[in-house]
Amino acid sequence: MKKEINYTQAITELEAIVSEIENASIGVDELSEKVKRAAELIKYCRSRLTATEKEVNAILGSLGNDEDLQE
Amino acid sequence: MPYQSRFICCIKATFPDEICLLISIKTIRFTQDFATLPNQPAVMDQAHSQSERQVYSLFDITESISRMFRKHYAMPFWIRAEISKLNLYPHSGHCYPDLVDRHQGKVRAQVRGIIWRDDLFEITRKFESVTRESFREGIHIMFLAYVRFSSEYGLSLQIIDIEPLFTLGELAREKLLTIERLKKEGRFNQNKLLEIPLLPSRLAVISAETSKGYSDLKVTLEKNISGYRFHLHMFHALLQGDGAVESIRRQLLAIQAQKHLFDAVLIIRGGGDETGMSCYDNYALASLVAGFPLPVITGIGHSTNETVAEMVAAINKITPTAVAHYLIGRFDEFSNRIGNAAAMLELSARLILQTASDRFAKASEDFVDASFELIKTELQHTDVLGREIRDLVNATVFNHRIALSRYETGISTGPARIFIQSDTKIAELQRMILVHKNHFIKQQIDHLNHTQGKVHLLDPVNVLKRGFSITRLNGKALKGEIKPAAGDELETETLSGKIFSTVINKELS
Repeated sequence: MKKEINYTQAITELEAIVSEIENASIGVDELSEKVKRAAELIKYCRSRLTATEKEVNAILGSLGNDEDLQE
Repeated sequence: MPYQSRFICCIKATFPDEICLLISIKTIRFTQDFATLPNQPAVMDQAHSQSERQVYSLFDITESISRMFRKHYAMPFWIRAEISKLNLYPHSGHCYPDLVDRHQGKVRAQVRGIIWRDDLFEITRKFESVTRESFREGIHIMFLAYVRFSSEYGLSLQIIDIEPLFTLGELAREKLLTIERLKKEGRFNQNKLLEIPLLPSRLAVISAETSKGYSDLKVTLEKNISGYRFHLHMFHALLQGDGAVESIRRQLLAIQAQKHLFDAVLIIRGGGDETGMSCYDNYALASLVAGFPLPVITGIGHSTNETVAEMVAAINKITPTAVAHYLIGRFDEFSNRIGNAAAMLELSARLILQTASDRFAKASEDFVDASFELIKTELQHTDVLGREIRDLVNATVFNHRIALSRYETGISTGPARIFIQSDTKIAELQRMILVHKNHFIKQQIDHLNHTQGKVHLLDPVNVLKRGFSITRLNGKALKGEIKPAAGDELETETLSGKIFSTVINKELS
């Protein structure tokens, strides 16, 4: 998996793979490769989501602390 | 003038009407007395001849007159007259006043008076105690007098008593006349209308150096507790009695000549007796005071009625000390005004500063409050925004998680379907192969045979055998659009060989 990929690119690619598999428009030959790729993308996206959520909450939490200081 | 004619004239002029009647009666008797002279004097008979004239000595005549006076004028008369000259002889203590009677300013009678020392003492005491005027020249008196005639000194009136109330009335009348005249001339209030300088410090003082009043004034002014400085310039004058009017007038005129040097004129008197104050009722003096170009302040210290000069003066105080207090009061008043203004200024300044300070404090407070309010609002706003962001983030993350879960499901179930599909297809194909394998082969043989037949029929040799030929023009078969013209050379292939021909004519459709 390429390091430079971002969440949007990952989810776009993932959606395309899911669509191909659901429509059965994919050959058996590439199937295992595609599934493997999809699993990687899901894992990546989840980790990004968790990280982002944590980060956002941390930022908002620090804002809250600032408010307390000002008051 | 002979004694005789002078006597008659004076008698007539000096005596009041009722007395004149008496005199005329006595004159008749006087004539009779003349008749009783020892040797019938010729003067009484104009008809006597020069030769028969009888001559008398002067003494005979005067003695005759004297006798007549002693006889008919034994009783004293009440007489009123003006003292035109006092003629007091201090050494002897006797007084010989000139008595006059004026009518419309002109002397119409004049007799010498005599007051012997003892009488003079009593008369002066009585007169001054009532009138508070000295027995002096220029006053009108009513007196009891014997009419005397002496051979040596002639006619005279020996004054033995006086009625001071008459003089008092005369003085009051003169005072009223002065007031009326000043009012009529419009001068009465003239000096009062002058503006008194704010701080009268340069003072022309009409007084006497020895006067207690002047000393009171000076001491009071010099010892004022506030330390105001007054500049006194002394103009010496007689302040009462004879000569006071002229003396004061002269000094007033002297001050008038240098009026720019002074703020006000003070007439100061005090201490000593209070006789001779009527000079201040004198028209000439009061008139000058009333019309004086500088404010006149009087302090002539007496207990009698206010004099005319005091009435017309800009300011009148009873005593010199009161004058001094008045002047100091003017300074005090001004000083107080300045003090008040200073206090007011300070108060106003304080008030302005306080007001500004209050406003600033209030503005500061408002500013702080408004700032806190704004910060609070903004904090609340950012708080809301923060919560919104958090919620949105959470929602987005949640949605993405759902989507990812769905994709995961898709990925995990998709391949199985593909496998099943492929299996089904293979099975189908296998079945098809099993069912149709014979038919498939025969079909293939038939197909192959048919194809072989088609290929045989289409062989050009077989076509030629069935009688057909192929005509070519320039190597190309005649079909379609290739159309030979007359003269063209044609090549016709037949089963047996080639025939060459030339086109003669053509009939083509």
